[in-house]
Amino acid sequence: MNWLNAIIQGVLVGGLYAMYATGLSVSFGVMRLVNLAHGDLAVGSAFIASTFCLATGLSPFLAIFVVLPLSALVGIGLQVAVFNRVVGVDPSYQIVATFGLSIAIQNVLLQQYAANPRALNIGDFGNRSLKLVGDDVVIGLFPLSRFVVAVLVLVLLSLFIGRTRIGRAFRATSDDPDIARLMGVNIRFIYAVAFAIAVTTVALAGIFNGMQTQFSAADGPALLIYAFESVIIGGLGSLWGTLCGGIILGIAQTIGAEIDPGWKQLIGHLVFLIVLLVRPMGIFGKDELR
Amino acid sequence: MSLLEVRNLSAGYGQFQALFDISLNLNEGAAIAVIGANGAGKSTLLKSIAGVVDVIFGEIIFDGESIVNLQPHERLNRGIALVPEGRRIFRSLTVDENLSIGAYSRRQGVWNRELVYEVFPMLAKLTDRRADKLSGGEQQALAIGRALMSNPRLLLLDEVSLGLAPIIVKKLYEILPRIRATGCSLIYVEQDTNQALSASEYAYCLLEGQVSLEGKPSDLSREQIASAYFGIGVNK
Repeated sequence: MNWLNAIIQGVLVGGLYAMYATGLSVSFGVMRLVNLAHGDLAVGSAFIASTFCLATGLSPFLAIFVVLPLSALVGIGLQVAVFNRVVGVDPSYQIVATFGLSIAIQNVLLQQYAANPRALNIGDFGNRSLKLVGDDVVIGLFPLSRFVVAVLVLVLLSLFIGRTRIGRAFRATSDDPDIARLMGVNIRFIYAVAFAIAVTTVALAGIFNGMQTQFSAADGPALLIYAFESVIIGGLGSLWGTLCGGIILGIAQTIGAEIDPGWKQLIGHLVFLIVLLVRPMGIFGKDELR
Repeated sequence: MSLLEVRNLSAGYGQFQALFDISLNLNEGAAIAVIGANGAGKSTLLKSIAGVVDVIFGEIIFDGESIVNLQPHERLNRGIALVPEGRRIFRSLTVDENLSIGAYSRRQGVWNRELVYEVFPMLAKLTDRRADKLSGGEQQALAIGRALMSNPRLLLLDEVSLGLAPIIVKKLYEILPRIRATGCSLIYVEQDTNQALSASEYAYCLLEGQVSLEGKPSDLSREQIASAYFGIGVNK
């Protein structure tokens, strides 16, 4: 067994999980909305990227630049059409609306793309790796760059929320939406921006996932679970906590897989449950968005 | 000249009507008090002026124009700012950030960060402190400062004295004339009548959602006020 390698791979996978989770963290932090269609939006984006690549013959990396602006628009559209109606009312409406959206997206994907899995082909780049510590540790170039991008996204988002005028309005809205409105904050605009960010980040995560493994129309809920677990382990509303949560989940899974390949998922879920028992507010849990 | 005129206002929350046929007038630069017991409708009145409560019937005229159909942020842009009951500062933001949100509307005027810190020196040394770490008096000062950052023409003060030590209340009320001196009109809502009455030229007393008494504070006797406040026949 090679523990060091397992841990490093876990950290790299954790970056991807954190990116899945970022959008959930933001939408919960700003508007107390739990979006059950989060994973399906990731899968949908991967399918759209795949369609783009098949139609144009261009690299999936270029597809990112097409899909992400589209995702932002989809996010704003969903906020205006669906979520503005369920924010700030009885949470059961949110569950019904987002669960319904999840089913709708899955079925549209199934109808459009059938049940066959797809993948985004990034060619040779997916196979290149760096060998360290006398060949004991193998770091794939793609997982490494994916991790770097994930951290970069979190740094930018954290600067945006911490330092800008709109970011301040995000936090004020999170603290007290009624008073934020009274201060002249257009909270519908804030919600639309928050949701655009949520969908864009999860779309990027979905494409990154599709560059490494196959995906199919029904994969969304499984991705949602990883995102949830990362957010809860790290602590609701804390972006850096979400990164740590993703990394802890990733390490738990790779160590589980190192013990027995069948244990990958199991150990991940167990670690999640242990955190939930021992520290229900999560490792960095505070009642705020930072 | 009249800055704010409320005509025959009825308002409430959903099925529940809290205000019945309220009329009041506020001249530019003046200060008026709205007093009354808990549940009399004082906060609802301020909230309907600020735009966060549904108006059932009646008119609210601000600076010669009806504002009944305007959103809260549109009313703020015209110069109506509310200091809400219970202070409701943004807890996870610093003092400085709270003031920045107050200035979110970008209304121009004399008020800025420096002037707020000058008027409320207790805030000046706490600029980077998280708002939930402030004392009650400091939070109230911050709530007023935050509202001032929008350079209001009309400042609505909802229960400034609530839950604060008398000495702190006195201190805050000493600052209010400075706010008026900038040309800002004030409406005080208080359960504790003395401070509010002594700081204003005209007073309205609410009882069960209706105006039970109005007049200049100097013309109103203690008995009249007690009767209008509690709704019992003291002055038989």
